[in-house]
Amino acid sequence: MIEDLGVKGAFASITGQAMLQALLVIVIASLIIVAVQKVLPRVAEKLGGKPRLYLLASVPLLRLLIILATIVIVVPVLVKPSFENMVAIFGALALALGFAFKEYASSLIAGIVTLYEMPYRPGDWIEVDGQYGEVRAIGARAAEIVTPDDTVVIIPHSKLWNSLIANGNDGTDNLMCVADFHLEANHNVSQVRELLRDVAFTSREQKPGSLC
Amino acid sequence: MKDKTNDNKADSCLPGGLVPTEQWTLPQTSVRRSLKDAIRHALKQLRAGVSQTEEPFESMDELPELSAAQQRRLAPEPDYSHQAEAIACGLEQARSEGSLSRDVVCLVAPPFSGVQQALTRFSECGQSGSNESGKVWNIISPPDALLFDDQEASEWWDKQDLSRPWIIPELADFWLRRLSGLALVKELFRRIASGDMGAGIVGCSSWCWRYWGHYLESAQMSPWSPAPMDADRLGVWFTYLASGSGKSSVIARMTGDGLYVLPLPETDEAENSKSQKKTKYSNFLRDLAATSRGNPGVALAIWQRSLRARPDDDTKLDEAGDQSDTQSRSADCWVVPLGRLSLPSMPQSKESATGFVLHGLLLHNGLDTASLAVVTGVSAHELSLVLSRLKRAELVIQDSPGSDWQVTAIGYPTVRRHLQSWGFPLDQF
Repeated sequence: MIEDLGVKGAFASITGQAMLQALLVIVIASLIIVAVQKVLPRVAEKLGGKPRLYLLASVPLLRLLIILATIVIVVPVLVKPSFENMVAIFGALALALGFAFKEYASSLIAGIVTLYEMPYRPGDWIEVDGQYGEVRAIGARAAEIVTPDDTVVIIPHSKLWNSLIANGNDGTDNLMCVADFHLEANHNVSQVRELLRDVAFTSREQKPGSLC
Repeated sequence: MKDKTNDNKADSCLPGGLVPTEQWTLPQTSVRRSLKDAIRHALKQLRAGVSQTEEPFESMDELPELSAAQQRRLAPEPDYSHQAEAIACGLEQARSEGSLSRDVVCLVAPPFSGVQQALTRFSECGQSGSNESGKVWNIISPPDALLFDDQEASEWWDKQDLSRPWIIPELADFWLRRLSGLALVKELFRRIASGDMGAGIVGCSSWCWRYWGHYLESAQMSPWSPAPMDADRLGVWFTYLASGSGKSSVIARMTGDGLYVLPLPETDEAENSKSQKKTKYSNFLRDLAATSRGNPGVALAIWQRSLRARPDDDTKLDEAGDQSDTQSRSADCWVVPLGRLSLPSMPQSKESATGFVLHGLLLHNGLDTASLAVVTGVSAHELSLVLSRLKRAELVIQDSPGSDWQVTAIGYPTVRRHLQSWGFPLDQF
């Protein structure tokens, strides 16, 4: 079947030197990705406010760009970039992904969509399928969140297609805290409201104008 | 003639006069300067992560700083009595023009504007004539303890002498950000709204005003503020401060290129056309106005640090300072470009306590250690560590042990910028 698609022909011209070159490009790209993933979050920690959020959000985007650039460089090194060869390679890839890695491909594509739509960014507090936590990292296939009890939950981006995603701060540094409390039956409503307002206003975490 | 002299004095010590707060605008600056500031701020934050040493104010030039005597002569602290007179003139003018009709006037100003100090001296400098009744102003001082319930707050205000015009120099001294610390100010605003307070002036720090503006959303107090200090106003004010009796002049030039900072360009067109051909002026004052966000106290603090004297000028300037004020004289000094002055840096810290402490200090216009612990919820041990780091970085100061901690004027731009980047609510100035 692979022969029918012409893939064998497309890869027939691969030489040892070409393989080495491609491997070198992939290694360099991997190192750059690792460096980006390690350095940028550290730099972002030093900065405050919006620059920090933008820098964190740029990490997955940069990684995607590096991966795309690597593919663009590596493919012509390995195969002659003729129309027939390209059709053969991408046809085979589509077939393999369609059958064997359907869910994986779905997550990868959703990962690209998350970079564009930004339903969550590093630093956001989100809830997906009952799991609530802070987004720690956004990978190509999945996002990592850390719950308040310090558990890391991996959420595939494909959840984007069919799950409701609740985002508490949506890229800003404001997060509303909700507290339950109980009152006796015959309470004075206005007095309680006033007291609660004062409690909120005297909280050091409170931001004027953020009260309902 | 006397009135005209007073008007000129008022114009010089409070350039721009008083304006309704909603008309206050930030002094303009160039895009280049804004970008430079933003990049410098980001680099400083990154550098603070690499080196953990505190960085107080630093000058990156070789010229000697002014001696204390020279500083007193060229860039002295303002005489707040004169500022009080200027404020009284401004209010009187606003009343005569009909733009101010309220009995109780709220004067809102950013920290270091000198409004609090001026209002404290309001009764000392013969302002009795500025109110219609001709009575002497009564300064209302805050109680020692600020924790009251509503009933106690009402009783406290009942005891105050409101039969004559009154002044609250700083509203921030009347409350603490905790549940039982709000009652006095709530009761004050309730009485002002109901017209029970008579005539008075409430001075208020812009940070405190921002808080109470949100707390009392429905209260429309229409506050007034000193006009922002743009380049021209700063030039007028610095000249006025240095001139003493008004008979001397100051010549200040940039150390790098020799461009003139002071005196300001002549406003008279004929004079201007002649002199401008010869004299080239620096943008220092415009940049200083933007860096200080039009805040006179901050601008003066930076101005004091930027002035330089050549070593051989020391004796001349000291001698000039000893001469009689009635003698006409001129003094030269040199000004270091803002790019060569490094304002204090924020110490790098992962704890959020630093932000709470600085925000608490600005909200309350300074607090002692015990009150700061109550307001911020930071433990005494951690608080002492944070305060000592901020003190070494020249961002906060305590005049004497046990007294209030205050944010420094030279550190205020850094503090405000960091509070903004940490997401704290800021004042509007």
